[in-house]
Amino acid sequence: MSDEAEVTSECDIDAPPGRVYEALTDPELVAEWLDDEVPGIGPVERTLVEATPEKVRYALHSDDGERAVDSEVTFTLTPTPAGGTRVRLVHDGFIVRESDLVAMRRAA
Amino acid sequence: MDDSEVFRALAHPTRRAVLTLLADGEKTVSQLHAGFDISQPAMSQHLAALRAAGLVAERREGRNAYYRAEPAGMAPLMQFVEQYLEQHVERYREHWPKQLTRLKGVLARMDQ
Repeated sequence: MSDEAEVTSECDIDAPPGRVYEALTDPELVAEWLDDEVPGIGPVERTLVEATPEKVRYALHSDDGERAVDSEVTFTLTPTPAGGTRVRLVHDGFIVRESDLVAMRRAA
Repeated sequence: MDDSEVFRALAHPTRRAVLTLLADGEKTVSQLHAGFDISQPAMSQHLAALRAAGLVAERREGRNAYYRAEPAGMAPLMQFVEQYLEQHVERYREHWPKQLTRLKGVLARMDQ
């Protein structure tokens, strides 16, 4: 476990960037795969803050009355030579809970 | 010894306070007793519970019994906390790769 305030994940999808863009931005399609809850944060409210053919960015806001967490998830789309799309995901700004865990583990 | 002994021993505020005092170094029952508003037999019972849990050790010298901390006795507690935190971190770590897998699934269905 590192102190980094971002988490990344990557995958290649067998569909052109335009289709992937659609699945990332069309609310009906997004609802089919993107969870409304993030482990460690809880239920999040999603707002699309950036949408270009190469980059889709959502602000994730969570507030349970005791703790508010703001983070962002960014999807970067790159065409692959095979006609598919490489999707790189970065979850950023999620330092509150993660750093607590890291600190507790250090102490142990 | 059963792990529950450690958790049970730590559940009592007086026993936790005793451990904090012993972190400073070895002490006799009367030295420990001086800081609390409880009877000496009650203090002896707390010390016996801490000993049974492996959290303190006793050394006899003449008529005095000296108590000292045994930090290694905390191992069951540490293991529990470590494992508990690991589960949480693991669940979070798995989250985004799983999300991308589902995105893939949605796109595979769109193509059909």
